[in-house]
Amino acid sequence: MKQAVIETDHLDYGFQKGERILHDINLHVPQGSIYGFLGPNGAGKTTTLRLLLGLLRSENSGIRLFGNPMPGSRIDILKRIGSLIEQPSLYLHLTGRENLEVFRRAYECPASRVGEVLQVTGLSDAAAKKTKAYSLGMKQRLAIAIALLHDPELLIMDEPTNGLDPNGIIEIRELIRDLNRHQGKTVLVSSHLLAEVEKLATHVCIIHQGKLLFQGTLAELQSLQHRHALLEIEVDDVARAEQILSGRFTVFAQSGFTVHVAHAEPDEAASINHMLVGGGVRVSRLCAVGNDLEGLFLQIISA
Amino acid sequence: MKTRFFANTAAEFMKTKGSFALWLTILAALFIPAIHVVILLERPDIMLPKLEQTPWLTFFRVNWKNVAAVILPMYVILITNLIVQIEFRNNTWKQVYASPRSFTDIFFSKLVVIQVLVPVYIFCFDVFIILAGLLVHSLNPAYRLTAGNIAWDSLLLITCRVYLGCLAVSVIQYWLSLRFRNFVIPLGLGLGLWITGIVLMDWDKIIYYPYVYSAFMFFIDFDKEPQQLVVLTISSITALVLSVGIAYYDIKHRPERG
Repeated sequence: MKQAVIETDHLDYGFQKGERILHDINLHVPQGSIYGFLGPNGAGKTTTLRLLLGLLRSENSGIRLFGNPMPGSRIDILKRIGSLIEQPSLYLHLTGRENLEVFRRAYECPASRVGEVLQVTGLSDAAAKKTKAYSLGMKQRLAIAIALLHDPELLIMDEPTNGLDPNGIIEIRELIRDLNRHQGKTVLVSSHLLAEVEKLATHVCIIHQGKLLFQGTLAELQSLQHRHALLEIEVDDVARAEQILSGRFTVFAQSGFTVHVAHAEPDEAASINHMLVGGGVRVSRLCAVGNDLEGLFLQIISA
Repeated sequence: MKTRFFANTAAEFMKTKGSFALWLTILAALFIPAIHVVILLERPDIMLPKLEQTPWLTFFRVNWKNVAAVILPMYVILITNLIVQIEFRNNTWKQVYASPRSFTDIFFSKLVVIQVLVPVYIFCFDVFIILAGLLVHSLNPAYRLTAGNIAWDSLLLITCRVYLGCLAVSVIQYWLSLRFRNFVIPLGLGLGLWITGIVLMDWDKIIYYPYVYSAFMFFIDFDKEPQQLVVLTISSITALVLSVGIAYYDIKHRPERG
């Protein structure tokens, strides 16, 4: 197993006494990975990321970054992390370059880094513009430029594609991929979109209601997803379809002429169709469902 | 460490660029002297006898009277709120706290900005008083507000005393502005605390109430009550030290940052 850049040991957290927003979270973010931190809104993603960055106070939290405890080694850890939490944090009355200058002083990096990160994020031409005139995509890229100023080993990004148009999403995705592949940065990226994480991540963690439900490589998640795939089939005789399939598969009759069939292997869709047609049932529609995050959650929870 | 603090303080000053902070400082400093230029020029029948004996000292006192009691506390309340709101409005506190800066650095570098802007305001105000006096004299030489007889020592004494009196309030307002994201709360609390001080002016324990120190530093006749100057100076310094200590401790130990 690769060395972990982020580790949490039975992390629990609540904003008030007696409240538990996070339950027993054991994160293991391998070095060099793009770690997709997946969960619906309110799952506890941002709270976890804020704890990792020391934005929430938690004594003896069991959080270790680069092997050092947080918040014990807060400053040493933060020197090695670039972050983007929720919407971009920018001084809108300042220009892009001035925003970078403000944070360059905090990170103690040379003035030349400003030009470099502007170039990496494609904002060189807009550097003299006030950031209030930036589009959301440009703001997001400038926030990433700030995160990159001190050439950190780890990037923590909370929903970096939130609110972006498809072009903006592709740009940010490509940028993250490039930073990981060509600059060797470990990236922890949170999202509520499974499709987004699938396109980007090497490792995935699923969190729901403050509990960690899955953690592993993308391939492991995909195999789990296939094992619990669901087909939605429109037939002319629901009772007959149930009768044919119930011996081999779990069948859930839906309203009208629709049934849901749970199956393990992707190629079983053809067998199911063959069985139904062979049994005299007319199949008018057959499609995979439940590949969305919510569906996958339900499957993982019930697994 | 020191270099780093200076660099971060310079960054804090950068954040005020293009904000209303500088305009507020200049306009607030100009406001009272400009009004008095008009009064002196429009009503020489009333003002000339008043300024006859000690033209500059009286002119300083006429101007400082309003500032020590009203304008300076208002300015302090507004400027602390404005400086801290730069972070809240832009949602940047989380980025500030996620950067490798100590809490001490973050707390004091912004406080330095406020503690520079307040003296800048006072300095501008003093400069505008002198310019106003010279302007009045140039338009009506009967006032004898000439460059040669400016009572520098009186001006310096009033300035230093009133500034010392407002220091604790500037820190308390800074603390309140850091505590509350909604700018109306520190603004309302500041105004409320200041008005309370005005109402309770005759209370025998008012000496423990920092919001009246700047007014007392101006209005008390220390030639008649010299012991009051000592009491007020000690109270102002104690309130300053206590407010810095309490504010720093509280902000450092907040469960949530940004």
